[in-house]
Amino acid sequence: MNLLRTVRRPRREKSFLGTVLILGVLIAGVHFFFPFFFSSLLSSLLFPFWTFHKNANETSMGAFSLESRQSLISRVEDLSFKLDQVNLDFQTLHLLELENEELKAALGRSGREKIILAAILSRPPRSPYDTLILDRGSTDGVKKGDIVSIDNHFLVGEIVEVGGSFSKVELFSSPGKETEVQIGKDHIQTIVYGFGAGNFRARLPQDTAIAVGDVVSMTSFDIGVLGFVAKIEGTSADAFRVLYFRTPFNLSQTRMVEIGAPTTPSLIEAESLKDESPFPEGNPESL
Amino acid sequence: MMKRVFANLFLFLSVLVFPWYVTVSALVIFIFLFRNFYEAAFFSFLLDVVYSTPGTYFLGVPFILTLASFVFLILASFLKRHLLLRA
Repeated sequence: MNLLRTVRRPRREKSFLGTVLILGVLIAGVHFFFPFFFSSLLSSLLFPFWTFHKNANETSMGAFSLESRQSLISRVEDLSFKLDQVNLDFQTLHLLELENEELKAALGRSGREKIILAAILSRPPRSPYDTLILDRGSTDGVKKGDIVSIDNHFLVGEIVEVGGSFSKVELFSSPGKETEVQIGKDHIQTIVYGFGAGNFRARLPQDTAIAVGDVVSMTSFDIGVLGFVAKIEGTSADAFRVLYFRTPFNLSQTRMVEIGAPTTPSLIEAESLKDESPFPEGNPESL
Repeated sequence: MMKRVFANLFLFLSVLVFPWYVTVSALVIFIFLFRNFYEAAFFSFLLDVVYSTPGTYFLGVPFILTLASFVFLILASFLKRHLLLRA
């Protein structure tokens, strides 16, 4: 018995395949001449579902907790104590921030641009690419090229596409994305390369004065922190050293971001922000 | 027919809610389960268009998921025709 029979395609199936191929060529043509047409159309169609899912998540958060009452009470007390400590630190940071603003004003630099608060509708790993979908768009004043940040200091990405009521953010850590930065107190300028999941990599000459823990920020004076150097690889025999760092925030736990150029914290603020980072220094690939 | 409708509904939900690898895994399974599952190309295109950015390339190839779904459809069709696997 011949088990390897070849089955001929029926004529109806061939014509259907032909229709699909023609449709594919048409779609490719439309996309070539109007690159944002399908993205805007499909994102607009999905926007109500994303918003519903976000609102449903926020409403149901904590509703189905399986913890005992006693453990919840002790957790609330513990969190209240930590909140008191954070409030004290915040007051110090706020004073430093005011001082920073006064100094910049004295030097002729204007205050921060208008900041737009946006909720994250979609993020990795739902997205196969390092992108975010936010619930603010052109009607809210969002423009292509706007910088997105968290807590007004930590950089997240850049707006690459704007719809009426949504916008798309490309993370600075997107694989292959190049960003000009300055590192440490000496403001050593270099280009860093994203390689996904909040991780960055850069190559610097062997004798460059950098150390683990140095602040990595964008080159413009008014732009915030990208991360802190976590690891430096290379021996004294190598001509270059490779440094690794990652974003100090956890995007999966972040609900809101700010659109608009953040202010640059002073070095003292940056040091205290590093201490609050949820990630310890170490191998970024193991975080 | 109803199974295929539910499969499409699941994929639509997956694009909105689940991680991308769940969507891609479901696409691969449904391509082999159903006959001529060309909806896979649509959902892959949806993932590419909605979540990627202009100039996003994987190994120099744009719309990698859409192209991969077409390749998988052709491969599945070939395998099903020659190995007596029918939906």
